[in-house]
Amino acid sequence: MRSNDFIKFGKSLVIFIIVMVTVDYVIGFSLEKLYFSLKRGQFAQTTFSIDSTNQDVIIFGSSRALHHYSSPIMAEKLGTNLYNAGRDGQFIPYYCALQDAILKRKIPKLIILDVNVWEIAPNDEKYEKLSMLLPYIHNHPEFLKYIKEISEWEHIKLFSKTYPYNSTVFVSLHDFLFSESLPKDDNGYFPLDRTMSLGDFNNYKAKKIIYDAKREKMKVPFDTKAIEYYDYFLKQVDSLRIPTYVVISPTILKEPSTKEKLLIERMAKSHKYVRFLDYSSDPEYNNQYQKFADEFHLNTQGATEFSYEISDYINNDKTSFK
Amino acid sequence: MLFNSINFVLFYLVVTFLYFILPFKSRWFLLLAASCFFYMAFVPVYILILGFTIVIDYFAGIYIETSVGPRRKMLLICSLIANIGILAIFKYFNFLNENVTLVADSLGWHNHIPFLTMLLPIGLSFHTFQAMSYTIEVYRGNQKAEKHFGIYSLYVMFYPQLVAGPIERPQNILHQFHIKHEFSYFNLVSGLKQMAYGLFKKLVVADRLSIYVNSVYNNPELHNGSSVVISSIFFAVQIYCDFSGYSDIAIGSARTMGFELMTNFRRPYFSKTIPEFWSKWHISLSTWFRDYLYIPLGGNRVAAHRRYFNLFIVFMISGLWHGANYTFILWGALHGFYQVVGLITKPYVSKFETNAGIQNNIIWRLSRGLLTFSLVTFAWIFFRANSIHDAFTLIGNLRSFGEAPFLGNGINQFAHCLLALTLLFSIEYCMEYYPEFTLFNNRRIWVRWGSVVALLFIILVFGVFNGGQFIYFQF
Repeated sequence: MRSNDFIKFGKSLVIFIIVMVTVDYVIGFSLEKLYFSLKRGQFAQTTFSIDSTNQDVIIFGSSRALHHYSSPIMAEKLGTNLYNAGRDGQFIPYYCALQDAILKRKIPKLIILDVNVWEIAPNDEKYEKLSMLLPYIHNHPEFLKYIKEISEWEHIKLFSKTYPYNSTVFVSLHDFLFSESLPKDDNGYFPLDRTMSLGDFNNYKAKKIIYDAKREKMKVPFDTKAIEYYDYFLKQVDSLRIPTYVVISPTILKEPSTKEKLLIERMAKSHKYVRFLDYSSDPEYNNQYQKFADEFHLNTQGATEFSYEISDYINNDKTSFK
Repeated sequence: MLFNSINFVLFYLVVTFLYFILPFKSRWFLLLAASCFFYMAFVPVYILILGFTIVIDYFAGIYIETSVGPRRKMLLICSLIANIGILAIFKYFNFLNENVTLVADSLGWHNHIPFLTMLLPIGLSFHTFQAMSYTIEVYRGNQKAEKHFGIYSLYVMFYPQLVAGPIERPQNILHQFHIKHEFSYFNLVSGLKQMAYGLFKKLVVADRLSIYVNSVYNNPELHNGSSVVISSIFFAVQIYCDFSGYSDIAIGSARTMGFELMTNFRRPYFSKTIPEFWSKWHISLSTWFRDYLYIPLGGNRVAAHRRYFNLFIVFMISGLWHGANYTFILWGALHGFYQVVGLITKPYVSKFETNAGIQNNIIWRLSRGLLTFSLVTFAWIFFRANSIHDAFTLIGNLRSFGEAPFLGNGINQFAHCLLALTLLFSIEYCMEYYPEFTLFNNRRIWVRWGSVVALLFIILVFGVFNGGQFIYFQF
């Protein structure tokens, strides 16, 4: 071993580590400031959901929750304050993480959990997308168990102050610079104003028929981890006696009774404080493409109608929890 | 164990550290044990297949060296059959069986041969070709047979290049295992820099572009011509960065221990012709096919029509090497066709260039570069498509080129893609046309250090950390 080279490398390594740690701190600190200064947009909304949600009724779910439950309509009909904490592209592990953060602060009077029919089907994306929680890990150590779902070494990567803000720069800058032009949410709710065209609907219908026929023959395994998370969510609300509705909100086409869907229903119904509502075969919405913005989401008209409908149902059903 | 995982970082640090503190006599054993561990991290049992070919080729090499005449040739053939046989069973059996079933069904017969349900051993095509190059070179008398079984095993199994190349030649690497490599500051730093650049290519460029590419290529009927063009260009860059990124990490990690692996990529997308592209793309494979298939078939010394035929066949086989699927065969055939057309038109193009005096005209050179890139990118459609049907669906969609393209899951993803492409192009452009202006090895310390630190933070801020495995692992 050439000792000169070894000493030279040792010195360079020490300097390099000092430079890296310093730059990491400076960049991480700047990105953190930028991220948490946002007033509008998806990051600001996530921050509000995690750190400030204090309403009596909280809606959990994916983008389907975000666009399907009109907060002002439901708040008025239910006569209480309400927050829609639905988030684009998220699945059951995220709802559980959010539930943990919120329950630490407050016990809501009512919870609506909007689930997708494919919620417990295998899909790695549902764990990868938990990276959305990384900026919050320092103030929410309860997220650590969720972060570990992204990868086994995620906690090591968190030694970096910059890493939690990976891939957030463009959105943060955009939301910071163009804050005023961003649509403002209404207690979390984001309406979709567009309407799906008949052509797009027919295209989707043709593909869905083929897909459903194919899927019927396929042996799709359950995502056991997702089932555990779903069970965890239900047990939490049940143990705290929070009246909860697990809802499959309207779909543009009737969803077949898959084994996943049946399991979601069975698990929900096995809890005293949980009710299960399935709108995925409701003819008021199935094939009514005018009520949809795209193949997965209701538009403003559909969401308004649905919000009235589910509020009425809850108002009539409330006493069943007593 | 993926190069872009923390597991590999830990593995690499431990192995490299031990390599330099162990006495020279024990180093081969450390590297072999580490390589076995590295390979077994994927599917442990497949090490037996690797072991089988190693034993066959080790003894074949020794016996070939000491034999003469037909026996020598027979030993080579036996070794090649063993290697190609394993490749055929694991990689091509199901493909062949599928085709037999199709033919049998069309004739109203029933094919009773069962399909193999085993996974393809990782990197099988790479280490098989490397093993074959050894016995061929010993047969040709260009390489002495390796007597040390451990060193020979290491030649096939050296972990940096075990699963995705570069496909080394014995003349280049084998003797390096017998040399004592001293700890060298230069080797260590330059190897680490190359690894960092490979990681940048993989995490910032390849894995970012793959998100868009997968959205389009996995749903071909949903996307218009503009999206097909964008995703195909993205895929051209993705596969380059994925594979050359792997090679950079392999070459860099070997260099930190003092080993010099062969260069596998030399910025192929700056090529002006298809032959130039192939002289810069996956060099270790294209030279393998040149040395062990094209030249034995007659090379450039045969009649023109025979040469065209040979070229076409070599590229078809190269396509098949990549995978047992018609998409790869068609990709190879398309490149064979490009080569043949290029050869036929070469005299006319040269004459035109001379007469018009445009050999060095920048617009002419740029046009040729763009044409080459377009042809290569068009061929990639077949390589990436999930089936021939999907490939033609995508090509059919090119008719609707004027429509607005799909922008991915939000403008954020697309912006990341454009940033990745801009960064890559800027760095590679400098490397290609201004080699004297080097960022990572600049004379000024602040440029040198600044560029490395910037590269690492670009990875940290813009990289995709859950992108998954390298594309070429499947081959």
